[in-house]
Amino acid sequence: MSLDSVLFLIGFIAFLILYYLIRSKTGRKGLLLAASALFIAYADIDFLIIAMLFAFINFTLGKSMSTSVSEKKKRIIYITGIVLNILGLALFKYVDFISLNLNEFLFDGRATLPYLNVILPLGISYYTFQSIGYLFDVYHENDDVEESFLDFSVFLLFFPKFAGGPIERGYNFLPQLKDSEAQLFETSNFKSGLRLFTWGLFKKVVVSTALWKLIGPAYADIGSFHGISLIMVAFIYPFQIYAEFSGYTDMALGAARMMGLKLSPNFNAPFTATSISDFWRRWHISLSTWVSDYIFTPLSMKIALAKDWGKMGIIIALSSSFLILGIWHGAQWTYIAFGVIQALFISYEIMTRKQRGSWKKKSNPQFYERSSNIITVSLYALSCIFFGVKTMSDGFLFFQQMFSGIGESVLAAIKNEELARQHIMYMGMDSSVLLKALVLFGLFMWIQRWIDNKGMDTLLDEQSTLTRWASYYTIVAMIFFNSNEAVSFLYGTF
Amino acid sequence: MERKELVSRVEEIYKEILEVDAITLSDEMTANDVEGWDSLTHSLLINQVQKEFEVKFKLREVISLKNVGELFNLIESKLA
Repeated sequence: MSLDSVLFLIGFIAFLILYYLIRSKTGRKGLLLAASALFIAYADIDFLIIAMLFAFINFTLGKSMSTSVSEKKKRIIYITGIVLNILGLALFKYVDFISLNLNEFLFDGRATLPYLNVILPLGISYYTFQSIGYLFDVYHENDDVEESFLDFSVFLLFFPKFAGGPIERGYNFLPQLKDSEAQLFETSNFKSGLRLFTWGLFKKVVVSTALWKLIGPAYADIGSFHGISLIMVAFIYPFQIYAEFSGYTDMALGAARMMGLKLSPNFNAPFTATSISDFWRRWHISLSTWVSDYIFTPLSMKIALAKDWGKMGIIIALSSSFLILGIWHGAQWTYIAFGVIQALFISYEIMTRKQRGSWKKKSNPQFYERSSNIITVSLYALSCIFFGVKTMSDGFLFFQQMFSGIGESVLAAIKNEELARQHIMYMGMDSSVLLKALVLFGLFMWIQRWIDNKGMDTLLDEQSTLTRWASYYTIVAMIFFNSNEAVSFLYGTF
Repeated sequence: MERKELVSRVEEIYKEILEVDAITLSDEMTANDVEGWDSLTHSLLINQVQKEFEVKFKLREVISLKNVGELFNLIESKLA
């Protein structure tokens, strides 16, 4: 069940009423766990069993790590925990991919290694990463061990973030469950959460869908598009993912806020970034900081403590981190390519730090900022080509087609012989699809910029009652009239 | 070594690695307070501190550092 389904919305209202009525803290947490269990079991009861098993194992490992006196035993438990989570994730997510590639390269494509054909359990990429983070933090004494299995299960299974993140930290989330005041009904939390949830729903159901309607046909049939069509598709795609994923994140954060719980943000105006490293501090933040804290930092430190490799050591740690970030999205070479490209960009930025610093000093600061921003967004859009396709050959085909026939496609669109314009500019759709996509895109980025600068609540509270309610009605009406067109959620498949 | 001398030697390292002309470090400072000090430059700083003071840190020691003051304390504890 997706957070934007009608069933979820009805269930969520019923849940909230019960949640506010329950006065006991343990009762509320019990309800939270029950609702989360229902949410997961609705997809498949096996998914719930697997998630609970992971919760139990990680909880037990954390506890035994904290009670063991010997440093050596503690370390053994810690490493066991990390290995179990990685193995669990690999078993469900990567085994068939590994078999497929080994069969391909070693055994001429014969199925020598068997395929398990297991279904990817919902949310597994999210809760295994959260568990690894938790064990790491407990082992390194950055976090207290969790004593209550109920609280720990709520932490891993919490339904607003279960299927699509954010990847939460134990030390952010668990203390909130202990605070008896935090979860009581409060008008300001409810209002603010509802506003955020609705804005997220709008981005996901209305904006993302309209953009995908325009560019989706090109991804389904890359070979029949050229030049400016594919350039347009490539540049719209990152914004489509942004609308979809930031929309989903806002819904998760908004739903949690209505319950008086605070989840971590995932986005901070990513398209204002002036370098790729800056971009990754603003995009899917809960994943990029996870990779930074639990892979990059330990690895780069380990190298720096042992060797004098200087910047080379950082680049090795960085490449490993982005490889993992890429493959986290799924068992596909295209995701690996996506990660490798990010590592290459950032390695370049590390190597040229000094040089770029002196360029910056010499040039007009506003011009430097603007052009850095345009270059960053363009490079990210190009790297996203591999994010959007299923196979490497489709990715290469996309590049090949995009850079061929640019001039011809412009001319043909102008001449408009045999309705060429429709094919080139609107990907074979009606011109109204392009118009709707562009208008919604503009509206979305314009409002989002305001929200990023001021915060949604300040922004809305400053308006007159009339403007505020007119905006609510407009947004809700647009969601309502577009609700039958929504597309499935990409980040829910990771 | 006096704390003052230790601080100024660490400041020299920061100046060199972060490529800035001047820097003043105080105990409560964190990476958020210093421009250019991020996860990318952090390991270079630690590597240089190890070399400068001829000490060896453990991974767990450097990962749990909360601010500059704790780094000074760690160096002092290794020198003692």
